[in-house]
Amino acid sequence: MAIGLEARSLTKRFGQGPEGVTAVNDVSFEIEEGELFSLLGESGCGKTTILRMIAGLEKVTSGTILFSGQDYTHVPPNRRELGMVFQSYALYPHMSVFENVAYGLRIRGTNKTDVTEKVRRALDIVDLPPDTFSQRRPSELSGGQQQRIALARALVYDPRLLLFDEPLSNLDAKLRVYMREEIRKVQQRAGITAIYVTHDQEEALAISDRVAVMFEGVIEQIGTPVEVYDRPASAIVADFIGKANLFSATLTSKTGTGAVARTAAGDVVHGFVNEEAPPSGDDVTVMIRPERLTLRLRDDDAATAANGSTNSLDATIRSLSYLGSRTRYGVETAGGTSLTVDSVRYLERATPGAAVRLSFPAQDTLFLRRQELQP
Amino acid sequence: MSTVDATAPRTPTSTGRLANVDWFRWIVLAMSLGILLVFIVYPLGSVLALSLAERGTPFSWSAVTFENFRQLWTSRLFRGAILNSLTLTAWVVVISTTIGVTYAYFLTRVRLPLNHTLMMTLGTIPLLMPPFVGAYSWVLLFGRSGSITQIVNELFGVSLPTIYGMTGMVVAISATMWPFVFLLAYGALALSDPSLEESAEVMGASPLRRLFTITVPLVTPAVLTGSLVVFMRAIGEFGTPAILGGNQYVIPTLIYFRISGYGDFNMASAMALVSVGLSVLCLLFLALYLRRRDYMTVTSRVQASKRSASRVLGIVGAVVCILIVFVSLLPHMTVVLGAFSERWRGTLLPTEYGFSNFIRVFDRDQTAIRNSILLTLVATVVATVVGTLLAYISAKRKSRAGIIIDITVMLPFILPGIVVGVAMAAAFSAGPLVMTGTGLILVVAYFVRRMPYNFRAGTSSLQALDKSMEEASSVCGATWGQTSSRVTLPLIMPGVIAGAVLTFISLIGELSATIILFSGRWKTISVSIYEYLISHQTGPAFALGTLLIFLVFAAVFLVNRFLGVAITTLFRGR
Repeated sequence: MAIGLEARSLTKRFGQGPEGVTAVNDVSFEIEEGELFSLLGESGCGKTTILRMIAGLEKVTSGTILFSGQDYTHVPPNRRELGMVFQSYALYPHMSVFENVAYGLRIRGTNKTDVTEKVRRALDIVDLPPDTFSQRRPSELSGGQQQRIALARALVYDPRLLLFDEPLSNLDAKLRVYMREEIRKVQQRAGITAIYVTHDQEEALAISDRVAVMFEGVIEQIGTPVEVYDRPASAIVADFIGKANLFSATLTSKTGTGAVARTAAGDVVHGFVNEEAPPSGDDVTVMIRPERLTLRLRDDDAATAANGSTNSLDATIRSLSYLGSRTRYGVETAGGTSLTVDSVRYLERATPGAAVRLSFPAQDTLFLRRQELQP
Repeated sequence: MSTVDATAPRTPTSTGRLANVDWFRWIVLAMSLGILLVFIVYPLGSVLALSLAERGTPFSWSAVTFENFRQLWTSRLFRGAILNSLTLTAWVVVISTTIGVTYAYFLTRVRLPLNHTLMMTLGTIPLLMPPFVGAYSWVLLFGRSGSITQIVNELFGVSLPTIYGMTGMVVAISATMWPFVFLLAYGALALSDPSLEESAEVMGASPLRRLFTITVPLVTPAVLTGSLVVFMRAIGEFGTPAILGGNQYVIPTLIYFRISGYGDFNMASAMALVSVGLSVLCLLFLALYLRRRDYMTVTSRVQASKRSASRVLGIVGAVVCILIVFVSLLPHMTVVLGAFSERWRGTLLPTEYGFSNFIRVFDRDQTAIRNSILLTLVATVVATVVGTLLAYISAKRKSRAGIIIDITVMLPFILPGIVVGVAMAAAFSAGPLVMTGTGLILVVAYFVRRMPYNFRAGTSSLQALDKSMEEASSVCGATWGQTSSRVTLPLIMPGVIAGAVLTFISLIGELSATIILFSGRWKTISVSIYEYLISHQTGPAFALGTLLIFLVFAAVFLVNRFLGVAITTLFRGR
C-alpha cells in the first residue's frame, strides 16, 4: 500500500526560551492509505498537537509533513484537503443539518445537484435518513446524532485524510462504545485514511489498525493493538495500556530470545526478550498481564514445577476484590514480589492468607528494559 | 478503495514569502493607530495646548503659561465644583449600589409574589431614558409648587426641602443609574454554586454568617463593577446638574458655563484636564481595589441559586421592589403624562389632555428630530463596524498590536462626555481639520464616546465563540474571507447588533458632548429638550422626551422581536 501520510521529526515548542514547553519532540511515523491510525496517550502528551499540526491549525516548529510524498508542512489548512471531526463537533448552530454537511462542498463551488446528491449520500453513510434530518438544526439533535453530522461533514468532499480529535469524549459510556464501532465501519466503508486521537486505550485498541502510544511528547511505540498489548516496547506502554505486573529482575541466562531472570529476593522466571526493544544489560523489568497468571490453591495442586515453557511460583493471597466477570487477587510471592492476578474463576477458599501457586506461560512473560515508573 | 487518487493534481500551492506577510494585520493596526492619533491623542493634546495658553489666544511655545491652572487652584467656585462633583458621585454610587443590590437580592434569593420577567424589565427601564430628561419631573413633583409638595403641604402642613441643589441631583441621578448595579449583581446572585452556601450550612454557619462570609464576598466583584459604571457616568453627568443644580456647580456644568458664558476655551480646557485626572485617579483606586478582590469560583457547577420561600420575606421584598420601581419610573410617567397634558398645575394629575405639545414640537423641532436620528444612525453604524473589526483583530492577535488596540479603545471610557466635547472643539475648530459647525464633528464625538462599547460587545461575542467553529471551516477548505463571512460573522451577529442597539439608545439622547458641539444647523433633540427645560417650557420638552422614549422602546422592541435579545441582557456588563 502507498503511504498516505508521513511525519518526519515533527517538533512543536510552545513559548520561547527557558519558559517554553516542548509539546511534541522529534516524532516520526508513516500511515498507509486506508489505515486507521490512533494517537493514544494521557492528556498533555502532545497527541492533539500532532493532529493539529497535520491539519495545519498549529505551526510546525521543525520537521516535515508529507501527504502522498508531497511536502505540506507550510500549506494553510484550507488547502490541505482534509476532513476533521472536532471534540466539540463544531457544528454551525446557524445552519441546518443539510447546510452543515454541504459546507465543504459550497466552499468548493460544487454545483447544486451534486451538492444535494453528495450530502444525501454522506448522511446515508452515517445512518441519518436525509429526509428526516436535513432541515433540522444541530441543536435539536442528540449528542450521537451531532457526532454523525460532524462525521458526514468531514467526509462529504472526499478528503485525503480524516482527522478525529477525541470525538467520543462528550458521549456517555454506552454510546461511546457504539459510536466507535460506527466510526470504524464508516471509515472502512469509505476506505479513507484516518488519524484518531484518544486518551481511551480500550477505544484505541478496539478500532485501530495501528496505535502510536505517546508519552510526554514522544512516541513510545507504534504497533497493532495486539503488539502494543502483548509486546509492549517499554514498561511505560505496558503500564498505560491495560493493567500490568511490573517488577525488577536480573537476567541469569539467555538463549535466543528466551531468557531466565531472577528477582533480588530469589524468584526465578522464564520469559522472552522483546526483540524490538531489547534491554541494554542484565537489568530488566519483568512484565506479565494479570489475566495470564493462573492461581491455584497449593493443597490441591498437582505440583507443576517450573520448566522452560511455564513459570510456577509459590505465593500467599494478601487481598481480593470480586469484580463479577473476574476476581482480582493481590498476592505476594515467596520472594516478596507483589503481583496482581485476574482470575475468571472465583475460588471459595482462596481468601487472604491462603497459600497458592501461580503458574504463567513463559511466552506471556516479557523482559523489558529497566525503567522506573512514577506511581 | 482509496479516496486519494494518485493521478489527481493535488499539489500544494506554494506560497511565496511576500504572500505570507499578513498585510491585513498591518492595515488594521495602522487604522487603529490612526484613530487613536487623530480622534483621541490629537484632541487631548489640543486640550492640553489650549490650557497652557492665555485666555482667548491659541497655543504658542513662546507663550506657555500656567495662569489657567493657577486661577483654578485659587478659584473658590472651581474648588466648590470639585467638592460638589465628588460629593454627588459618592452619594449616587452609594445609593445606586444599595438599591441595585437590594433589588437584585430580592429578585434572586426570595420567592416574590410578583412576575419575575416583568420585574426584571421594570428594573431595566430607568436606563432607557437620559437622566436629564426626567430630571425636571422631580421639580414638577417636588418643586416649590410641585404636585406632591402641595399635596403633602395640604395634608400634613409639612413643607418639603427644596429639590434644587444636591438632594435633587442625587435623587434624580440615582433613580436612573441603580439598574447598572442591579443587572451585574443579579448575574452574580442568580447564578452561583449552591453547594458553596450549602457546605457552609452543613459546617454549622448561621444564615447571617453565611451571607457575610460566603455570599457577599462572591458577589462583591460584580457589584463593584456595577458601581464603577455608575461612578463614571455620574461624575460625567452634565444634564441633571445643569437643570437641578441651582447655584451648585459640578465640574461638567462649570466647564459648560465657562464656554457658553465667556467663550473661554482655555480655562475650560484646564478644567477638563483636571476633571480627567480626577476620574483617572478614582478609577485607578477602584481598579486596584477590584483587582485585589477579583477571584473566580473554583467550580464550573454553576446553577440557579435557591430562593427563600418565606412568606414574610416575600411580602417585604415585593413592597420594597415595587416602591423602588415606582419611584424610579416616576420621572418617565411624569414625562409622558406631561407631554399629553394641556394644563397641569399643582394637582396630582393633569386637568386637561391634548396633543398640542406634540403638534408644536413636530412643527418647531423637525430639524432637531431629523438630525438626532440621522447623526445617531451614522455614528452607530460607524462605531459598530469599526468596533467589531477592531475586536476581531485584537481577539485574533494576542500581540503588541492587540495591546495598542486595547488602549485605543479603552481610553474614551475615562473621558466624560463634556471633555470629549471640549476636546473635539479644541482640535477641530482650527488647524488641519476643521469640523466645527458640521454634523461630522458630532458623529466623530459620538463615535469616540461609544465605539468602546461596540468593541466590548464584539469582544465578548468572539470570546464566547468556540474556536473550533472557525478551525472546522478552515479544514473544510474555506479561506479566511469565507470563514469570516459564513461562520464568524453570522455567529457573533446577535451580540454585535445588541451592542449597536445599545449604542443607538445611548446616543439618541446624548447631551454632554452635544451641548458643546452643536450648531444652529445641527441641533439635536437633546439640545432642544435642554433649552425648553431651562426656560421652564415643560410641555414641549416632555413631548420630545416622550419621542425619545418611543424611539428607544422601538429599538429595544426590534432587537427583542428579531434577535430574541431581552432588554435585560442588553445592558449587562455595561
